[in-house]
Amino acid sequence: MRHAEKEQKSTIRVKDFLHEILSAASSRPSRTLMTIAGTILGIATFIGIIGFTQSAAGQISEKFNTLEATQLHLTDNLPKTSQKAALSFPTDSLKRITALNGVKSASLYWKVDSDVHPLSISTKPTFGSQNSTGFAVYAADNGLFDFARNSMKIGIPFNSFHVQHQSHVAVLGEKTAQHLGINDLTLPHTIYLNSEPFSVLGILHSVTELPEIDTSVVIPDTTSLKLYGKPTATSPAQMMLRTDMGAARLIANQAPYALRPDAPQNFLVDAPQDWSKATRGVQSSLSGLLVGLAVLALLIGCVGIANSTLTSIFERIPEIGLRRALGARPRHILAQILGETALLGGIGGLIGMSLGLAAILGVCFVQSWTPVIDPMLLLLGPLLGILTGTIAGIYPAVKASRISPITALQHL
Amino acid sequence: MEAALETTKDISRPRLVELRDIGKQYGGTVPTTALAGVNLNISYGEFVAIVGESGSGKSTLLNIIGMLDTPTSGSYAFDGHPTETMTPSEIAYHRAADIGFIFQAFHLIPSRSALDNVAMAGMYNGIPLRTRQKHAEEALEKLGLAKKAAAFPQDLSGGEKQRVAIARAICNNPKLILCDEPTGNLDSQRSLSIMHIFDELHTEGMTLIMVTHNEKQTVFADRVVRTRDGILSEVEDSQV
Ligand SMILES: Nc1ncnc2c1ncn2[C@@H]1O[C@H](COP(=O)(O)OP(=O)(O)O)[C@@H](O)[C@H]1O
Ligand SMILES: [Mg+2]
Repeated sequence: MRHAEKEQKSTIRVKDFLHEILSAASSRPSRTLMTIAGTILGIATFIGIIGFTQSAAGQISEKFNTLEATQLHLTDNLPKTSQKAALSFPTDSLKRITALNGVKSASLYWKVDSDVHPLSISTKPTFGSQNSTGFAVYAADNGLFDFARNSMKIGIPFNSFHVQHQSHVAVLGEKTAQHLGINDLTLPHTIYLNSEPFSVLGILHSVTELPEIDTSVVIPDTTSLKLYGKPTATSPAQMMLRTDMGAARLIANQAPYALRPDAPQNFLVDAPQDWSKATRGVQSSLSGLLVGLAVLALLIGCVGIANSTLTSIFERIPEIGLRRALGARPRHILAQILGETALLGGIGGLIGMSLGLAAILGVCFVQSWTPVIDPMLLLLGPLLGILTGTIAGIYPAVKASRISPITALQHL
Repeated sequence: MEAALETTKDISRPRLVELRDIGKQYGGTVPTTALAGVNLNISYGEFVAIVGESGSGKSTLLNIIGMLDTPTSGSYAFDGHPTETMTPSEIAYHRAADIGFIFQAFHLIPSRSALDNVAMAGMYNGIPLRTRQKHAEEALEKLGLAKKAAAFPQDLSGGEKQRVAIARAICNNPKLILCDEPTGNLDSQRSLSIMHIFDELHTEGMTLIMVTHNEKQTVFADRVVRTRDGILSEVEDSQV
C-alpha cells in the first residue's frame, strides 16, 4: 500500500548527481585539462597578482611598522595667534617621561626663535644682532644624546650637570663646525652667540630624527631659558620619544597625563599611524587594476569552458536523448551540464590557485620577502573557478536542456 | 476502412497500453500527418511487432507509447492512467520506472563502461547507485556479458553493444520494453540471437513492442500491426 502511494516523480539523488558529474569530468582527463586551461591561467594570474600585491604591501608595512611603532612626538600646543612665549613642559619633563614603562629615551628641545632673538654664531664676540643665515640655535636637554645614540663625532655631549647649572656649553652640528672652522677639540674652543661665550664640548654626526641639528648649535635648555626665555608659538617646544617595540601607541595616550595631569590638552601628540592605513593606500590603488584582472581572468576562463562545452554538447546529443528516455527532465539535463562546468571551473581554480601560490613563493624567495598570503585566497581560487564554470555553463546548459529527445535519439 | 484493433489474444489480461484515435501532425512549411486515427490496445505479456515502410509512422507511434512524444489528438492511457492528466514529472517518472527503450543505434555512452551504461537505468527515478549497479551486474550476467562489464563500448561488437543496451532496458524491471528497429545495424546471425533474447523475455512474461522492417522477425511476435501513411491495421494471418 505504502509503496503504491509513493509519489511518482522524476528525481535524481544528490549523491548520484555528483557521481554523474564526476564521471563526466574524469572520463576524459586530457580533454578536461584542455577545457580548463584558460581558467587555470586566468586564476593563476589573478591569485599571483593578489599574492604579489599583498606580499609587496607586507614589506612596506613591515618597515612602517618598526619605525612608527617605536617613535612618537609631542608638541607644545601653543595658540598660533599668541605672541606670548610659553612652555607647557615642566622642568622635570625628562624624568616624568622616562619614568613611564616602555619609554627608552626622550628629549625635550626647541629652536630658539630667530625673529625674537637674532643670534650671530661666531668664534668671536659680536655686538650687533645680526642672524647667521642658514644656521640655528637649538635648546635641548641632555636626553637628546641618549636619544641620538652614538651621535658624537668627536668630544662629549653635555650632561645633566650642565643642564642643572645652566652652563654655557655647546655641542655643534657637523655643518656648523665646518662653517666655524672647528674640526679638532684637542685644544678648547669657544664660540659666541652674539657676545655670549660657550665652550664647545663636542661635534655631532647627523641625527636621523632631527636633521636640522646638522646646521645648528645645541645648548642646554635651561641655559636657553635663562638667556632667551620661553619658546614661542612659531617654534614651540617639542619632545621626541623612543619606546619599546609596539608601545608607542600606548605611550602616546599616557605621555600628556604624565607630563601635565592638570592640562594634558597642552600637548599635541603625533601618534604612530595604524600601519594598516599605510598599506591600505597601496592596496586600494591596486584594487581597481585587480578588479579588471579578475574580470579578464573570468572572461578567458569562461570563453574556454563555454566553447569546449558547446562542442561536447553537440557530440553528446544522443546521450542527452538517452538521458531523457531514461526519465530525465530538461532541468536534469540543465543541472548536469551546469554541474559539469562548475566542477571543471572548480578544478581549474584549484590548479590555478596552486600555480599562483607557487609563483608568489618563488618571487618572495628571490626577493627575500616574507610571503603574505590571505588565507581567504585559498578559498577564492576554487570559488572563482566555480563561478567561472557556472557562468560558462549557462548557455550550453540551456541549449542542451532544450534539445528534443526524439531528435536527439535520431541523431546517430 | 476504419481501424478497429481492440481485439487481443487474451482479453483476461489487464491492458497496459490503450491508444484511442491517436493523431500526430507535424507543422512546418509542409505539414505532415505522421499518424491518423490510431486505435491500439496492448495487454500485459504481449509481444507486438509493428511493421511498415520507412516514413509510415512506426517510430512516431513507438515514441508516443514511450511517452517521449505526445499525440496532437486522441487519448492514451498507460497502465490504466490517462497520460493527458499526468504532469511532466510523472511522465518522466514512467519513462524511468516502467519503460525500457532499445534503439537501432544502441545509444551507449562511449566514455562509460558497459556496467556504468547499464546502471544508468533507474537513475532518474531515484534508485541509489549501489542498487542500480547490483541490478546492472545481474542484467549483464543474464545476457552473458558478465565478463564485459568493465569494457567500453568501443571494445564491444555490434551484437554485444545491443545486448548491453538490452541489459540497460531490462535491469530496472520495467512493465514495457520498446524496441525501434533493434537489429537494423546488425547482420542476420546477430539479429537472430537478439530475437532469441526477446523471445526469452517474452516467455518470462515481459511486454514488448518492436518496430521492424524485417518481416521474418514477426514470427516471434504474438501480433503484428502494420502502419501505412500513418494508418494502423492488424495483420491477421501472422504466423506463430
Ligand atoms: N520531427 C519531425 N518533424 C516533421 N516531420 C517529422 C518529424 N518526425 C517524423 N516526421 C515525419 O513523420 C512521418 C513518420 O515518421 P517516422 O515515424 O519516423 O517513420 P518511420 O519510423 O516509420 O520511418 C514521416 O513522414 C516523417 O518525415
Ligand atoms: Mg523509424
